[in-house]
Amino acid sequence: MRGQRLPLGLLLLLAVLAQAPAQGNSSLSPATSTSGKWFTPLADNAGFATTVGYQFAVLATIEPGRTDAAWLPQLLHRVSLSNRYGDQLGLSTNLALNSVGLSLFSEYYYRYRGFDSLAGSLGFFANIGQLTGLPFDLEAEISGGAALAMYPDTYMLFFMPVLDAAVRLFLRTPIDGLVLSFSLEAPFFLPAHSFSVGGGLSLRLVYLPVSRVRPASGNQP
Amino acid sequence: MKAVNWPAPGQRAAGCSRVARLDHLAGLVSLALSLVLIACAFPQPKILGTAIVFGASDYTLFKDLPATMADAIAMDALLTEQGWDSRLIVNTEATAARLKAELASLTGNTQPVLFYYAGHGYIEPEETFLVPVDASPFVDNLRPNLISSRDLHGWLVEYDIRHPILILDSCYSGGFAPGGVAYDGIPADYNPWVTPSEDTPAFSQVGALLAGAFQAWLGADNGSGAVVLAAAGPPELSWEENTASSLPYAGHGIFTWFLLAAATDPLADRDGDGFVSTVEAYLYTRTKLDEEWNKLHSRSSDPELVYLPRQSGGLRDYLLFSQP
Repeated sequence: MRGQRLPLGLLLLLAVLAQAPAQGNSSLSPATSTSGKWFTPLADNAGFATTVGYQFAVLATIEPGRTDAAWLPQLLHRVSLSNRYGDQLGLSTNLALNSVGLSLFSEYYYRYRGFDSLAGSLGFFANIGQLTGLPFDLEAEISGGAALAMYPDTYMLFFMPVLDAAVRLFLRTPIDGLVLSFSLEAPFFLPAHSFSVGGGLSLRLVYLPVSRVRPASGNQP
Repeated sequence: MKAVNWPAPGQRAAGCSRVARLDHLAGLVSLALSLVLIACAFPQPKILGTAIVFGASDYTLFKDLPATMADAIAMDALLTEQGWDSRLIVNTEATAARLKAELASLTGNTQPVLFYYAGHGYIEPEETFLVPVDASPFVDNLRPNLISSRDLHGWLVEYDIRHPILILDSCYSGGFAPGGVAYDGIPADYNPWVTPSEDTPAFSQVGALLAGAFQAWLGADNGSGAVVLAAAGPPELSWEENTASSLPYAGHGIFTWFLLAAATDPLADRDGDGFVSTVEAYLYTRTKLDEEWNKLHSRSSDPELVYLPRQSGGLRDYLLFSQP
């Protein structure tokens, strides 16, 4: 049994390493920031960015096929690492560690078990702000992938597809090449025989390794 | 504790910053109260349900099990004390027909129904069985009076038992605990001193875990939906301690002894909410049995002495005990 801890550790390590090659692009020219308005940080042709983020959400979970099934709330904490390729339209590769807590109790004296999971997903994003000429960057993203989950303190593993939808704003920081993003996010978990959907907030730190910050005037750098 | 200097009348108009801080404090208190009220809107846990407690000790054709009677009586007393409507059925009454009749009497029951069983178990390559006291040796594979996993889960579905909990202290009882949505990473035959699992390459273990989890998702059968706590894995034996022993669990099944202890040991209540759930009971019994019984027998020449409890892999976690 003790030997079973190793594979999950390896999984995590491999997953982190898989993200590493894309970070090598940071050897491109350093970022340039400008002062000015807070909500206009991203330039056209941003090309590539990497982000780390934290998400907090409230999930509602149910077992649809069972009699007396109840929607019960669970809390989700997520730490994510993403690489983004593209500008106004683009793709993202995402890696997330999710921790879902126990639900509250139902009137039938049961609750839903929490779980920890490692999820990988592929996303598609569109900068609606730039596409529609808004004076700020407003981005929408949908992503889908899969997660390997485990009930805490057990060796019981399960698989599930995951989906996410997000709408986010970007906020300039005083540090060159760093941008904050705030998102409204809707995560979906689809394990066998149950379903979780939620809503939450996330905060991400976006690193733009090359000159990607649009000047406040709106001119290209 | 620091004294709080409440503002004098009129002080607020002067724009005292301390008053502003108190306003913030009041806001936080209001927020906290609101959260408490929201939490109270959800049902509060209360232990209530029906328990069927089987103790099969005096067998007609199998070896007697002296400790199962004591286990059943102790479990019945505990469940009754906890607020369960417990029905104790032992010895000549502990038959397959009686269990079926008891479940039938609970048809459509909307409360949790707990079935506890202490007795012999039996296994065939494709099926696991409980062995009631009137069970006979196999005759032409008819398995008279045995209760198979398929039978038991089938009765739960047939009688519309919506919230079934099975706690089985018998050999091979893990065969009644389907993984369902989950793949149990514990080998079916748990024995770290004999099984050379650590010699298996790590990537091979990762592959097996991933494949197992994916297959569980593809082919998950929700079955009766029962939450199952089993004393041992599908190929493992479950043990009881001789009454003459000086060990604390003398005269009891080892698994049941630790399960009974979970009702009062604060360590069992892992989330500190004052209740012990099926998941918490499983984790407690697994930990205790491994730390005490397995450790004691780790150097035994008989590898069958080592075993671990198992749990079904479903999402639900039922309340079992309320701690003092």
